[in-house]
Amino acid sequence: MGGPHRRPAGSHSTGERVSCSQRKIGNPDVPTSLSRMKGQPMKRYLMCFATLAFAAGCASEEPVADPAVETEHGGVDEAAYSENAAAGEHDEHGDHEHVMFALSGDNTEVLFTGVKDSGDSHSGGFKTLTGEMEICEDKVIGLMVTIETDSLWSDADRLTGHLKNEDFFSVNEFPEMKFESSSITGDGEVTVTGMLTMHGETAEISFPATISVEDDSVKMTSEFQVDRTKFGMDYVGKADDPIKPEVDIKVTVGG
Amino acid sequence: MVNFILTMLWETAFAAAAVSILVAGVMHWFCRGRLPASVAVSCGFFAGWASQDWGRLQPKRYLDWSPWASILLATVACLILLSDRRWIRLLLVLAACGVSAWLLVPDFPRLVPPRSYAVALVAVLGLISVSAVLLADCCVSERSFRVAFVMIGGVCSLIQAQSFGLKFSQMVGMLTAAVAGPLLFPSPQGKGGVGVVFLPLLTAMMFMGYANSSSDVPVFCYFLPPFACLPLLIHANRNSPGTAPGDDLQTAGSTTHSDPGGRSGSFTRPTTKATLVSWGLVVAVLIIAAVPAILAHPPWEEELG
Repeated sequence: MGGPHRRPAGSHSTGERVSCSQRKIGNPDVPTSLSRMKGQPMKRYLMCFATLAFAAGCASEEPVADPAVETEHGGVDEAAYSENAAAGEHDEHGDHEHVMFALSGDNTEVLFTGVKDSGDSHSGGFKTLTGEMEICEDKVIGLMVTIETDSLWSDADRLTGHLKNEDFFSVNEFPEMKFESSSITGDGEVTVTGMLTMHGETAEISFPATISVEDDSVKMTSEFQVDRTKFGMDYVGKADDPIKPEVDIKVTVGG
Repeated sequence: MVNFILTMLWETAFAAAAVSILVAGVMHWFCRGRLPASVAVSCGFFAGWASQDWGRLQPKRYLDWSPWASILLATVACLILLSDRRWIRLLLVLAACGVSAWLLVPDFPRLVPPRSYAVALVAVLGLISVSAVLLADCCVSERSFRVAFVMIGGVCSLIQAQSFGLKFSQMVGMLTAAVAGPLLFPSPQGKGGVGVVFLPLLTAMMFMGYANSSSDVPVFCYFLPPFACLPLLIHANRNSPGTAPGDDLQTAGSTTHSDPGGRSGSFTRPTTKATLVSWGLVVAVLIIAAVPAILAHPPWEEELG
């Protein structure tokens, strides 16, 4: 699998995510007692001029996404990227740029395994997903993934149809499932915590992961369990051999 | 292969229906002469639903309204029995089919057809099937109706299982078992509006199965079985003058009856030929619906593969 594409901070594909180091732009402190300056035109003029100058100075510090950064094929114009990196935001980590790595079905693999009480198991995964990993100082500080549930596959055709139906993912009703991290703690061996939205239900999950950030790629592996009943998937199957509520999940990025 | 099908049906549909058949049968036995059979059917289905791990009584999604829709339909069936005007009965049936469709039709982002059209479609299909039963009610015995409903419900449960919707298969199985329960305790009271509860609910459940399906089961398989009752209309032509269709909903099982409006009449028993033709058509419709569903995903494929 190829490494995720690198894009400078500020040029988000989702268009809504705010860089972690974006500086707040304060509103100009407009005098509330202009009426008191009645009869003092010079003071009023100077106050207005100072206000405008202050506002202009704040506006100039807002980062501007360079439309020339992304190339035709979605890659990165290295020259423009370097310029942006040099003019990057000041943040709590000092002069370090933030990079967004795009995730897709080509570089990310999400697998699951369901197990019955008897030990019988079935495996599957999802083929189509999009997402981003936010990198700062060679550390992953944010993770957001959206998976198309209709891209589900399994090791048996009938099981695939059953998993897509109302008993489990109900893909026609819930076409997407999302995960958005709220914190990633640790270095190398990390703990990812965030909100998972699946089957119309949202719950917080935490899972361990091993992440390595290199010059041109990010690699992540993680194995954990999710309790599907917390997300409204309460179908147990046969009474004498029920399906366990815990599902084993394996995520691989860049591997 | 037969063992596989029977095992699958038993473990999904019929095992879940045990509570429904028992509760419906006991309710029918205790309430005969006081409450119509539709109430027993509704209670049986409600009890079967509540006995399931996934059976929520506080509705959160569209299918959670199923047990409450059954109570609504049973209430309408009771009101039909109390009414002596044909247009009021038709209006009640239309309202019941419309409300149950509105409650049970899912609201998916990619629903085909869109929800407003789907609600209208399910309501109209339910109305047609209930009307057919009401028209044939004068000439078909209670036991024959129940047998027809059990056959229809069994085929529908099979179609849902073939569509990989095992939960829907269980739901249809529970409803069918609730209809079959009173067969254990025949009542001299009369028919009691069982079709008013069974058919609109069944039509809505089959639409749920269609909307959720990612299988190769043909679309007509989902909507054909409720119309298996239409061949029973052959007997409706054998009404004697003065007897309006639907007025016999509250009649006893004998050959004479009277309605609250004071009109009286008698029905002519259908000939053997008409009976064979109508039941043959019922079976033919069910076979036309079931065979393509089985062939879409033959259950023996994965056994041999």
